[in-house]
Amino acid sequence: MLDALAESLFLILQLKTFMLMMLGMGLGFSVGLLPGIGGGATMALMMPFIFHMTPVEAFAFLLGMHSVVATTGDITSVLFGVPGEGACAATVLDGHPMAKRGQAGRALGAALMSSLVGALIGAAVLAVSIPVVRPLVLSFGSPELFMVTMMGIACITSLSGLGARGQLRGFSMGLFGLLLSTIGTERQSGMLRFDMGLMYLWEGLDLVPFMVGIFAVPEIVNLAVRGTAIAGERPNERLRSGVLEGIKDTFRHFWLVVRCSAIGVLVGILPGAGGGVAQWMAYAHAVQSATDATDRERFGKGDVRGVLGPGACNNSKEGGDLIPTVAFGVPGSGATAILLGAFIIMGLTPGPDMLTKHLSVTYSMVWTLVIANIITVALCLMTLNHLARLTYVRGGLIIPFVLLLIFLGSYTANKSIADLLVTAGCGLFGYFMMRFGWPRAPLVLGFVLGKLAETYLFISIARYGFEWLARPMVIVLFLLTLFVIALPYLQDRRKRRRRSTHAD
Amino acid sequence: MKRLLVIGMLVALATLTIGAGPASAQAPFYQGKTMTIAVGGGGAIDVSARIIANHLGKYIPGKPGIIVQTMPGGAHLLATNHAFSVAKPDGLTLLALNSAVGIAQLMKVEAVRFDLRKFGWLGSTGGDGVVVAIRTDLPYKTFDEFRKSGKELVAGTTGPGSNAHDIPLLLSEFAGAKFRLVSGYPANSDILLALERKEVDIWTATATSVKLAVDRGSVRAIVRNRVPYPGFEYLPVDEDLATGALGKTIMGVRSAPSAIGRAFAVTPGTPVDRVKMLQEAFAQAMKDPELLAEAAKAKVPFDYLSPETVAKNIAALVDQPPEIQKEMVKYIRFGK
Amino acid sequence: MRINGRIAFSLLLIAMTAIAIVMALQWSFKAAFFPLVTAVPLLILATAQLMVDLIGRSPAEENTRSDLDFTADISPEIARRRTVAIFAWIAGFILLVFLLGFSLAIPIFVLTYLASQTDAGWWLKIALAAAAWGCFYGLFDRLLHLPFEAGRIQTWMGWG
Repeated sequence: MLDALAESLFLILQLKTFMLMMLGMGLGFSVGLLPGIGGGATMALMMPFIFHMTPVEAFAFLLGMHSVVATTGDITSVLFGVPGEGACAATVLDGHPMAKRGQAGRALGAALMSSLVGALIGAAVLAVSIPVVRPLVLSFGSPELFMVTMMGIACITSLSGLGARGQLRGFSMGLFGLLLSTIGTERQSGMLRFDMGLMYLWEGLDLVPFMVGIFAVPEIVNLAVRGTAIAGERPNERLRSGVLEGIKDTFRHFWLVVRCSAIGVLVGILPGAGGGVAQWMAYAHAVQSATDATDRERFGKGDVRGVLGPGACNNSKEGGDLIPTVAFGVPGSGATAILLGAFIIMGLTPGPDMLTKHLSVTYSMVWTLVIANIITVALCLMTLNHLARLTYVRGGLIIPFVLLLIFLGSYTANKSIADLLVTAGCGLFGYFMMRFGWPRAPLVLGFVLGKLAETYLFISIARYGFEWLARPMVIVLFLLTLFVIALPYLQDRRKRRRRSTHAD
Repeated sequence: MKRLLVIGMLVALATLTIGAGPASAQAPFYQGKTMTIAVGGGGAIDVSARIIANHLGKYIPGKPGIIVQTMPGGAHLLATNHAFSVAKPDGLTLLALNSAVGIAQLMKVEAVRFDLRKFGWLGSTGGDGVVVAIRTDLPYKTFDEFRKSGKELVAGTTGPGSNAHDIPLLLSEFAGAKFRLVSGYPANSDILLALERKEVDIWTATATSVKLAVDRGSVRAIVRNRVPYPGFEYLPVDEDLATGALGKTIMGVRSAPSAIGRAFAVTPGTPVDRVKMLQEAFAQAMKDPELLAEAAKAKVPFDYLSPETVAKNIAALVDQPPEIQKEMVKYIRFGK
Repeated sequence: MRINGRIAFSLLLIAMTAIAIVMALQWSFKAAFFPLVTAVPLLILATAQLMVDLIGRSPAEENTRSDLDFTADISPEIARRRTVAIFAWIAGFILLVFLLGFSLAIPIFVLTYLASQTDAGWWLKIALAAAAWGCFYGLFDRLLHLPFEAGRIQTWMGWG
């Protein structure tokens, strides 16, 4: 294994391969900044070019592009509140408030550094687990996957406000998200649900216009209302020190970063559960790491831990995603599905072959992830201060461009005017949600998980009747789910008990 | 006032640029232009479209560039609708057909706004047979063995309308096989994974995909549809296994899209000489050694079907008597 | 005023859920299962929320996690005006795209917005509008070859 690692490093460092990787990175960088045009769509567009490349070159190019997208997506999330990638939405919750408080540099530094750590951990896990991953993935059947989606939904308690009303609203939004996810064709019977007679809704509501509408549009409205720059009237942060502070934050909370990276990798490994889910679980975990209720209140208002968690997670997930793709030919996400197409064009078959005959190609992917992320983060860190300055530009000048970013990005989802209407409609809805205190995170979480939960539930029942409820892994996951739900209450009880013993 | 002036100037400028399109009539029509191949989704159809896009331009006077545009929506219906009535009939837009939409037309699905018979067909890059596969660690080596055993097997499907669903369903109904269908898997790759996990036993997909799995040793092929595929010719054909005339007919209709294969078309109303020229170019491109090499590398079996063959097969699919249509609806849906 | 808006929103949620339930009841069991399992509890919770809003304490005492910080130092009058304005601009942009296609809509939108909302110099405005259009054209059209529908007006006039 070690010599395969060394051999593949050598392959990557060939001039042509390296140049192709840089080219891919450049593309991925610009594309990652735009919501809607994800790594997936761009990779699909680049497919014609890989016909003439060798496998290592092709993957260096495609993965170079892909691995960078999650990192730069965080940039627009922080600066403008516009998620650059589906998986970067959670970063908006704390990242953008930090920018509004004049701490954009710190937020960006934290996001980037945690992204790097996450990416490295993801790549390491990919490299190490390749020989043993097949039995692990195979042990997760539909019932287990259903339980994992339940665990994801359970995170809602951590994502909602404390107190009865907060939880009430959080659950309502979670349920509403689940309901929205049922729009479209039902897989088992082929029936169309809630499609209102529109072909646009046959495949369901598209994630990008929905998410961009709910998150980004209210931010724009807020900006327009305030009439100031994004960072408001705050004094100029000393930008260089801001970014440095963010980097230091990553190491101050290092174990949180590592744990969130682990979440990303694990969720990435599971086929089906994509980055949309992982980031919320990581964010919920970061919230759970708060020591008490007052500490918890800081989240959502600009706590750096809320940036570190998702930042690490959406990069480590890339490494995790590759595992089922390479080992089984089962893509973990839209982008890896395209990557699978590349495999076929190269004449490679995902599966045991990639772990034996073509091991060096697989490891070259690992190296691409590592090197591309290191270079990207290094370059970004150097330019971050200038990017952070954007938060000081007058709102009036910024608004049209961010609006363009939002709408062009969501247009690319289905290339139809309907996308723009959906974005605007969700934007209006999101605005009112904000006004009246309904949390957005559970809504998006429910939406992302709904289809998965329903699918796996039905398959489990169709296949196993009800015996699957007794499977050991299912029971373990169920208990974990209960634990996740109860965690905020347990923490609160513990704190109150401690307080009362102190009072004695 | 000044603002209005500037805006007015901008609009005028933009209008001029758009209006002053390429006006030269001497150069061949396709000179300096870009053609678009509309495709509704991924998989072998997408790969085939990309390979054609790489090489077709060489054989068209004027050597236009060609790009592939994915138009997802309605399981290829959107792309087909677009190519039929929205695109201009100037020969610049091609459709990479997913022949399953023929079933939609047959079923009179509401969202169908096209008539396949009216397209200008250029030819096809070949049909892909459909093959039923079984897990290798199960003891049944042929379909007959399994049918005689009377045991039930679980077939994983992506939902009604898919190959994975319809073919086992028809075999259950008309050939005495005991298949229990478990639907809802998001994609074929998920079914394969479920197969490896022993969650499902049977998987049905295009011959190309099944071949890859057979080579890996995960599955064994047991039945095929009427379109033969190199390596699978020896398999029994589903229509032959059907025990009645009705079953045979419905299976035949269900298999018709395979016979059409990955066809390419231009919008109805395109000038006849351009269609002819494109048909020529297509035929020649399908002989191009580089193109065939790319197809081989991508493991998509390219086999040229002439525009006449395509048109004939399409008519055979879509022109069904109403009694057949009524029966079909009970077993077949249009879906992904 | 804010109380009324809050209640209206809850009512909207309840209405949407109720409609969903009514539609779902007409479907087969499998298709209706998940929607009903989510919509019915949602209806209950949303109604509970409505009750709370109607008879509960004032919002200031709540501990809600509202993850946006609407600055309080703008008077509600101005805030409302600006909110309506920005939504109007968004609607206007979409209309522009529909009528004229992205290619024209983008520079026109940028220019008109900058002209009416800021007092930057003319050259800056034109430059920014041109830059926006340039990025759009370069990245989306040339490089990524994304299809952009022609605007209604262009199709109508045969230019698209």
